[in-house]
Amino acid sequence: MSIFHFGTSPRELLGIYEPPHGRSTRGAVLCNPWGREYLIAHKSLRFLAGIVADAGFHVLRFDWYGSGDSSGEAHEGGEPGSWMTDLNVAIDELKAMSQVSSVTLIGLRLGATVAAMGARERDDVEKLVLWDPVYDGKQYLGQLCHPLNVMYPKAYDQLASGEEPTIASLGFPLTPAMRRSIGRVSLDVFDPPLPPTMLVSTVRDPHRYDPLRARMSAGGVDLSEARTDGPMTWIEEGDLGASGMPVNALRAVAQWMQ
Amino acid sequence: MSLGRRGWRERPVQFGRQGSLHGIVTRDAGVPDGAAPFMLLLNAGVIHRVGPNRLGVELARKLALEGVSTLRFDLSGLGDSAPRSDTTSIDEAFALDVREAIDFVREAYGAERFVTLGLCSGGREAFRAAYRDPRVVGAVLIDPYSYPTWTYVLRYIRPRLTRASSWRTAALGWRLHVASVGSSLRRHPAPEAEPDADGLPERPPRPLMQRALAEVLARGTELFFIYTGGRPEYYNYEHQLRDTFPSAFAHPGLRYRYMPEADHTFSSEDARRELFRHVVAWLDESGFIARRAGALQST
Repeated sequence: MSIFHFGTSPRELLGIYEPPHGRSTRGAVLCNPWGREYLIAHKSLRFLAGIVADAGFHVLRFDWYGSGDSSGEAHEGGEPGSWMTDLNVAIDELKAMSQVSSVTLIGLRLGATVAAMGARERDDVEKLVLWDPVYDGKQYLGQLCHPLNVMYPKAYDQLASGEEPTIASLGFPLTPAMRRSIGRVSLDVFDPPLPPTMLVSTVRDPHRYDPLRARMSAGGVDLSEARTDGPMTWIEEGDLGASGMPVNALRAVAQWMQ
Repeated sequence: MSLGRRGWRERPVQFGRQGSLHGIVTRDAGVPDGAAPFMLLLNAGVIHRVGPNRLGVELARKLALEGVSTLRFDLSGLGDSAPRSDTTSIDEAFALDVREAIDFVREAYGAERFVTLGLCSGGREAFRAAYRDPRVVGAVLIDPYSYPTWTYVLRYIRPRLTRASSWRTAALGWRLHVASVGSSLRRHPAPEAEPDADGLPERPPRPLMQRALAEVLARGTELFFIYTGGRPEYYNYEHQLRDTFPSAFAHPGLRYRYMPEADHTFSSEDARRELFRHVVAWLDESGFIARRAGALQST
């Protein structure tokens, strides 16, 4: 495993590359969730990268601008539209490093949403894994902005100036621009053209992704599914700062990709 | 290497005898090697080096602008660092990890003095490092150890006395209620333990902690304890540390700050800014920041 910076100033990103087991012409880029979900799911995604590398892929994980160890302040990140810039750079970086000509995108939560956006726009994404994707931006914002999750820090206080406030959701800033960008996420993101796609669900509600499933099937997307019993790897268990390891979901992704 | 807009620079590093430890060094572009103590930012619980609410990243970059270099890294088995294969316990592994981090920074950057900083279990590791290694000249311990005092017990019990639910529980199962109180007191460790080969245990009993504090302070190590209001089941009033360790608290080398408005992981940007101000002030008062006068001077 090697950790390095890539991209260009001032938008340097932190990347973590895992080499494949054996010689390989296949690559995979992992797309993180946002905010606290990113911290909780970090270990699972690290394990997933290792499993996928063992399955014969060059793997790149990276932190979005304004998150993790990448450049940028937290209030400058979190916009799916601008994350597309980062995803394009990450895919190009992996292709340059490993000489692969196409990649599989694996995204978790809002990362899955951006992965789908990338898969639609580029012609070098051969497969797509959507792990508990966000497909309704307003609903997702509703969760992030739940009164129990939100603070109104003085440091971000723009109310006096008449501007909309930046709020903090579970410790991470949500600017008005971020909220608008996330709020625009809809099923449109998952319209064709999309490559063969796997939908991974670990939520308890078996009907959670019915609208997404219906939309993608109606669009003729080659859709596979894996439904496991959790854990939901972006949700903290107890007071641990982490979730359980979603072994079945990880296994399902690796098997489908082979 | 990544160059931030405001002059800090970052470099991912891989180090350790097994090459299995990963971290990020953050420095001001103008700081010469060896100019000031190097800070080691340790994991909070199982959260990786970024820290809860990106606290580790924010602290590292802000400290760099004050001329303080940092290494935030993942202890073995956490974040991107692999588990060690040369130790038999987590305590032993973490002790070796910190020692190897110090050795690495010493060789790579010429630093001779170190300050550790950690939150929660990270705070305990930060103190253990100061106890074990005289190269650690200071430690910032955020919500680390806590021990019950009589005032703590009264403040723990009092609100429950005014709750109808508490009386219902008492009436229905007083044994369970007593067990619950006892359990909260037993979160604090039993009194028998001695340092082992790795130094202090992760949760030393009060007498051992008292001796350890005295030993570390007598060596001239500076300690900065910060407690938040985010863990009232462990620490529920301002003077709890003073009441637990009065002689250590009176030592000029121990500084203390109570931040009752902050939660345990500093979810609030305001709390993080306040934390940063306190840490920089302590570093400055302790002589750990090279004062700028045109160019940086060695301390």
